[in-house]
Amino acid sequence: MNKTQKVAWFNLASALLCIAISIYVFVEILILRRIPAGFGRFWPLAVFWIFVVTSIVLVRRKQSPAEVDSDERDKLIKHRAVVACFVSVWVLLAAATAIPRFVVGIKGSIPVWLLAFINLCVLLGAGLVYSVAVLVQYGCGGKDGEE
Amino acid sequence: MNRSQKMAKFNMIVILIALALGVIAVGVLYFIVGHPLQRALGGFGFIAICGLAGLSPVLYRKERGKVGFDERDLLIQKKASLRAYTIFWVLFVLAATIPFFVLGPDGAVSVKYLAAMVFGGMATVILVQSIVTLEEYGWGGKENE
Repeated sequence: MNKTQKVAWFNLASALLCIAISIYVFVEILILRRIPAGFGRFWPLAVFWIFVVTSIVLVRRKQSPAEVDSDERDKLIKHRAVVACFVSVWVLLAAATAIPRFVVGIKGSIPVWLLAFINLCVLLGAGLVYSVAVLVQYGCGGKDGEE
Repeated sequence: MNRSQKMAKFNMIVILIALALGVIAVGVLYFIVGHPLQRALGGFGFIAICGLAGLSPVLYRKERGKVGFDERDLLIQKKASLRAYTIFWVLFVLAATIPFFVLGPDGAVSVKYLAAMVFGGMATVILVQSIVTLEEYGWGGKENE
C-alpha cells in the first residue's frame, strides 16, 4: 500500500468517525438537549484528536527509506479524485439548499447552528468522496495499489 | 488568445455584469424606489445571469485537428481551480459562522440565505478561476505570450 492509499484510508476512516460523532452530537445535544457533564462533554473531541494524531504518525512513517512518495499514475489518480471531490461539493450544496426548502417551506427559516453543521457535512462528504475515488481507482488496496 | 483564455474572459465579463446589475438593482430599489431592505435584496435576482457562463464551452468549441491544451495549460487550470476553491471555502465557512455570532446560537436565518450562499459561492469560484487563468496567461497578448 503506497502513501496515497494510506492517506485515502485515513481520510475515509476519519470522515466516517466524524459522521458518527456528528450524528451523536446532533441527536444528543441539539435534539434531545441532553448536555453531558464534566469530561463526558468533551469525549468526542478527545477521541477525534487521538485518532488524528495516531493516523498522522502512521501515514507519515515510511515502510522503507526507498519508498517513493508518488509517481505519474498516483498524480493522475489524485487528479481524478480531486475532480470527483469538487463535483461532489456542488451536489452536496445543491442538496443542502433544496432539502430545507422542502422541509420548512420557501418562507421558512432554519437555526443558525445548522449552517455550521451543513458546512461540516459538506467538508466530510467531499473528503469521503475523495477517499473512495482514490481507493476505487487503486482497487481498494492490494500489493502497492495493484489488484 | 487560446480557448481557455477566451472562456475565462467570457465568464469573467458575465459574472461582473451580473454582480454589477445586482448591486445597482438593490441600490435603486432601496434608495430610489424606497422598498425595505428585505424586498430590495430581490434585486440580486440578476445574479441568475451567471448561468450564461455555462455556455462558454459551447461558444468556444474545441477545434478539430488542432492541439488546444498542453502541460502548461493544465498547470494553469489546476492553479486556477485550487485558488478558486480555496477562496470559495474560506467565504463559505465565514458565511456559515458569521450568522452564529451575529444572531446568537438561538437565531434563525431564512432558507433563502442557503441559496444565496450556494449561488454566491458558484459566482466566486467562476470569477476567481477566470481572473487567475487570465492573470497566469498575462491578460491576453499574442498567443499567450
